Amino acid sequence: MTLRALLCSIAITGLLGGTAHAGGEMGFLVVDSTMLKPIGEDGEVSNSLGYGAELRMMDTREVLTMSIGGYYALGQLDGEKTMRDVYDFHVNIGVKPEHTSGDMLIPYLTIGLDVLAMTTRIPKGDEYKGTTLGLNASGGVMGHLGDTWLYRASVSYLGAVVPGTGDDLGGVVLQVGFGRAIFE
Amino acid sequence: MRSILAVAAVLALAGGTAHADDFAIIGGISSTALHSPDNTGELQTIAKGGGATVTMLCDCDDATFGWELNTLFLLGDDQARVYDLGLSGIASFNVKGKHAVPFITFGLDMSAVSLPVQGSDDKERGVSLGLHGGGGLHGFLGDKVYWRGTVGFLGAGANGLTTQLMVGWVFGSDR
Repeated sequence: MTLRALLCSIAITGLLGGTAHAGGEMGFLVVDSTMLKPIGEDGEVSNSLGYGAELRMMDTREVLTMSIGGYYALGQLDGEKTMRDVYDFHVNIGVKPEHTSGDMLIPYLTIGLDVLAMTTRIPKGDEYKGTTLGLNASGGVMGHLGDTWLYRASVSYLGAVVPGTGDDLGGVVLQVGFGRAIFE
Repeated sequence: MRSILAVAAVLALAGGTAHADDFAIIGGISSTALHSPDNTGELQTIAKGGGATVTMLCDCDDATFGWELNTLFLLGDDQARVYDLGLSGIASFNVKGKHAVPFITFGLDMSAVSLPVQGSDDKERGVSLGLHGGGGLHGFLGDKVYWRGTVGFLGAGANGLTTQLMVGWVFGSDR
């Protein structure tokens, strides 16, 4: 899944466009593979897998970094476990070190607001749908690959109350992605 | 209400990064399918249909940003219906004069839905606010024809994955 997503993201973002250089204010179009792993429900909910995309903006001379994006992660069939489909839109703002032009290893921390549409599917049972708000805190690394490419890998904690059931979503979101500069 | 304000602020931020260039105004029609996993995790097509869109893409020198107002009219088995009105922000590699470049899009939706509930004879009916997002390729075929292929999700009541092909005509610019 992850390898397929990485190859897919490289192919998509590398098709055309991209004229920026690794310096100054930059915007990247990033495609991610995504896994949501619930950790607060005693193993009764299966992992969810999917893809995401985001516009990541940063200035290589400044501390702040920001992203606007989203992802979907579909609940995977795993015995009698509950499956949860999550459709997410989020805006994150965070910090990274200063003067990162051309750096291949840039640690960063972000926090953000999520708008979440969820479907909870219980095998041989009911289905619950709804939209809610959530919060996330994220840490990870990103880095420049040449003048126009960017990679990133992050671990986030996503907190939200599940619509319909009132359960705690309480999940870890793992993302790995590649991006290409769309402006400088 | 808070979610609407938050997302509106985000879209305003995204749109605000565009330069004050003129915008291409595009009218288009789309063919869309909505897919959702069933209780076994298999993706099922639950509704198909079409829609109309009005798109504004900036004629920027570097990246392309834009806005779109779109409608969807999707029909499925067992009288499944999804009627959706969405407002989107678009971010892309510079599309000026290009046949195909990647883009992403996110936005707000209002949907009127009537969908069968899995594992039950009931139907879920109502009007919902929500979100949508996606990505794909878009471009211009000559000066006047615009096309776009999108894979994404629709989360306003329908909660499913969407595949969409759209073609449009450049009616002019706002300058």
